[in-house]
Amino acid sequence: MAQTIVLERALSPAAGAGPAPVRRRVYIFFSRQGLMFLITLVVMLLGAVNYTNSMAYLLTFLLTSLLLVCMLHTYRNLRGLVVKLAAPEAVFAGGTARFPLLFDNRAGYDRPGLNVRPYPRQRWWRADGAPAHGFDVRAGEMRNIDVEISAKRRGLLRLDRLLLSTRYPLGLLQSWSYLDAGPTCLVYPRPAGSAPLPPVEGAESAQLTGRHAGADDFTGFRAYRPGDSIRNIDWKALAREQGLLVKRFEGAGAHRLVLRWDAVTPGFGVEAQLSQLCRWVLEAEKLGYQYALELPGIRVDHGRGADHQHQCLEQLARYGL
Amino acid sequence: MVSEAISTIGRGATGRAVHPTLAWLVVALTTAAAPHFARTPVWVPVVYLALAAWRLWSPAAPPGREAARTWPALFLILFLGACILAGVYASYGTLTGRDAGVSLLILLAALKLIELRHERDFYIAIFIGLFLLLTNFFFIQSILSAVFMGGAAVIFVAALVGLNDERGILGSARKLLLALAMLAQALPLMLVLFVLFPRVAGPLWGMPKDARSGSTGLDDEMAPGAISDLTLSDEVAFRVEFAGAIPPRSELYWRGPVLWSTDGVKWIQDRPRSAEPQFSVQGQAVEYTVTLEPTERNWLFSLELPSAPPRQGWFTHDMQIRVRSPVQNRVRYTLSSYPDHDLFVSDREELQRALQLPPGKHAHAAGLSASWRGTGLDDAQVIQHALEYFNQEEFYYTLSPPPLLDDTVDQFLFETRRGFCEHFAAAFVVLMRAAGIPARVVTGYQGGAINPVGQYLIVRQRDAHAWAEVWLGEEGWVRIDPTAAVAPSRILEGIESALPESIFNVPLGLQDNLFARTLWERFRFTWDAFNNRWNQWVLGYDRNRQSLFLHRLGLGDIDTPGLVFGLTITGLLILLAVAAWLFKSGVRRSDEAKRLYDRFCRRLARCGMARQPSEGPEDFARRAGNRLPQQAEAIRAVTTLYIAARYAGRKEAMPALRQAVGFFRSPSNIQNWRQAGTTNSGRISLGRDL
Repeated sequence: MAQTIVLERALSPAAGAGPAPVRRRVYIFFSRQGLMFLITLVVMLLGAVNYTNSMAYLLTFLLTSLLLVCMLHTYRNLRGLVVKLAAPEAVFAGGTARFPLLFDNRAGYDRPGLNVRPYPRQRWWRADGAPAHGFDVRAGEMRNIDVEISAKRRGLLRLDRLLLSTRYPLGLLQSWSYLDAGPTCLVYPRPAGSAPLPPVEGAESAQLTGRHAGADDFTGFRAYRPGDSIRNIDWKALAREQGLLVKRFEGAGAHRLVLRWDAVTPGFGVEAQLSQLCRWVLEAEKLGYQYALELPGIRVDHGRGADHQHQCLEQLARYGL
Repeated sequence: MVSEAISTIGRGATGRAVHPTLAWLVVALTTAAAPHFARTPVWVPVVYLALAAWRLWSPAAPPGREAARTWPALFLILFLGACILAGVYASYGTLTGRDAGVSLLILLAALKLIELRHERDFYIAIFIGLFLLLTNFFFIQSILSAVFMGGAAVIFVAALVGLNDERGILGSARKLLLALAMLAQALPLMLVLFVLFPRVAGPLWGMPKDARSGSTGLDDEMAPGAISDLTLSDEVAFRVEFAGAIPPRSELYWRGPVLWSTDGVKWIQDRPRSAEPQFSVQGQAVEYTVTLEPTERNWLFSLELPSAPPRQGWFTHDMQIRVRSPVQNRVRYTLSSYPDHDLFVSDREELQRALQLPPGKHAHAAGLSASWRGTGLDDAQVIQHALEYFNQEEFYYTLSPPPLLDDTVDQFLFETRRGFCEHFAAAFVVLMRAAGIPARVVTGYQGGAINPVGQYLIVRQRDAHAWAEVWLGEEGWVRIDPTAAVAPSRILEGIESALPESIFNVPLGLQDNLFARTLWERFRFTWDAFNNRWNQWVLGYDRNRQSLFLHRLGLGDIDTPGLVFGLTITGLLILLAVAAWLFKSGVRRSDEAKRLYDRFCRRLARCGMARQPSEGPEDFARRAGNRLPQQAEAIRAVTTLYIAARYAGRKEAMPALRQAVGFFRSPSNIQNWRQAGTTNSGRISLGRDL
């Protein structure tokens, strides 16, 4: 479920759906350049006092006031910004998880010079090296930014905390806010292992290998349902304005198999076993088989399609955690 | 990011020729440095502009190399830095002080320009530039310069905005506008800081010696041509506000240095001695306040003769007002003078010194006055004779007298006979001394222009004058102005009437048109009155002015902690006001329709009919209508009106929308919609027609 974060202001829940928006504080302090600017101001003031020069006083005070006004502007650049953290798509271990962030600028002014980067609670200093995404959100616009985090291990990858910061307009001050309570990304095991698929059950056991989806027979159309592979959509029918139709193939049903925990040679550890099973799931799906998954204490019944594959992979990802 | 942006600077063939951020920076720095160019040695602007141009159009280092400083580049920078230091030292003989410091700062900015590598370098360059901007005020503090520097400040802020607009989504005009807006928002705060910030009497560590060079004004010595040079200057020497009526012009003798001894060419002062002058006054006193521009000299000017010295000064034996340290800032002092007075000597030895003549000089002049004496005239008659001599012989009062090469007085009296007031005064005193009458030269200003706008007197450098004082025993020292004998209009009507018009700043073409000239003069007076206010209240705003101003506000005496407290409170209030304005203006006020529709959705959500984020108004209306069939009509009405008002731009639908949304005020209303709907069917149908 998408989490909505509002910086500093209470948001009128436009739709009322989903969890209530969360308010986050915006902090502000001098940037390194701002501290240098302060030193410059002190030197200017000393010059003005020493020469008893009214114009020098005026310029010094103008720049001092500018610094204070700049504080308001820098704070305003984040104030009232709405951030939606949506659930990311699952990835395989070793891949890169993309956490989509939707920045919704409901104000009447542009918000240039925003930066977002991972900023985990623990070992935040390590995150310094994490790449920052710089972006701008124009008045009344929304902007989608994917924060990329490499998924090293299977399981749930939590987007711990993000640092959203800006130094616009003058760079003398930096305002920032922490975006936490982030969503989690499901990380499937890394597909690996070289063992062949377990034998297919049922009648046509003679043809163990060499059978591919191409052998399936076309049997007709039915209306598109969410979850159907877009490869099976009849685009020509869509072009003829007949709506979204999906081509149906029979024959795959004949190839049923069960991917069992026991079928994997133990000895390389649980992760290796899960990796092997993961590869099998992908292979079985690719071949268009009807497959089931059996793990100790868990069973996913026969099926095929993107939803089914996700269900199996999720079990693998969450196994033992 | 910024480092990437910087790496594209001047990439020539691959990138844009000049990166906009760099262009802004160079423009800002050049604007701050430009007014200095006339004050520095000529090589400084040349080097600056060359380095800036080279930076703008140089084929820069290959992309991605900006972080690594190459050894040759480092050597080049160090070499250039050493050259700059050597050059400044060669030009000024020092590296410190105001003038050398400014040159160094300009060259430092140029050096920073060519070694811009990081984002940080941009900021350092801008901070150097801002300081450079400040140094301009150590030379000139006029209103126009303030306006110019304000414009330069806008460019600096715009450069900073450009630096932080990393992806360049703002155009130049928007950067400038934002900079202008931010500075405008800073102005009220600046004023409060200026008024309330506690003033310390400077200087903190002493001024550089060159801090005030180049001010024109009356010197403490007089040679032929010294005063006529001043007549070319339009600069204000001082301004005078009179408590009562302004005395007639012929009485406006502003006493300055009194010159006693001469070497035949130059006249110089006596060693100033503090003494109680002997004088008696009669008649009405004239009260006035003088605002003297910085002179770098140790004396003040007064209308002849003041009864008592001002707070900050003392009288010398020859009735000059002297002050302890040179006048480096504008000073104000109030005096009361008696035009009718008798001045005596404080010690008899004075009169001996008032008879000295340089040995072997002015033989002809001495002969002339001896011949007058020889005819048996008394002192008063000799003086009368001398004045008649100036008046009746072919003497001319002119701004451009021929040069005097030999014996200045003899040559003037018998050959050229063309001179300015200093020639007449010097020659007259020589004649008097040769005749045995103690005499001395007095310099100062005579006259002044009355500003009808501000009702005060402006005395300009061009009003500089020299006259004589002679000792007449019983009557004491008596003022004799030999110039009056030659050009009486100089005294009666002012310097303007005695000199050709061409030396005054009347724009070309206005001389003949009386109306335009009057307008022009009116403008000049208004401008000067404005300048006077500026000088009094802005430039002269010191501790005294501050307490005077706070008194006028009715705040009474406030000590430093009180000032700091008031400053903090007022500053915070102003900042809050700016914040309120800034944050309020951020909300789009035009989107009333959206606000109403959101309210409608919230009310439906309260009845369990929440709109999904992905749902458009039409889809939501369809779904909600199915769920709440009784209210379907009303929901459709709101939706139709909302779409008409917000997306079709039909403002006239707004009242109907407000009305329609109003019916969803409470859940019970929603339940009772049918009745309400029938009673208000007229309005709803209006909505549907839209």
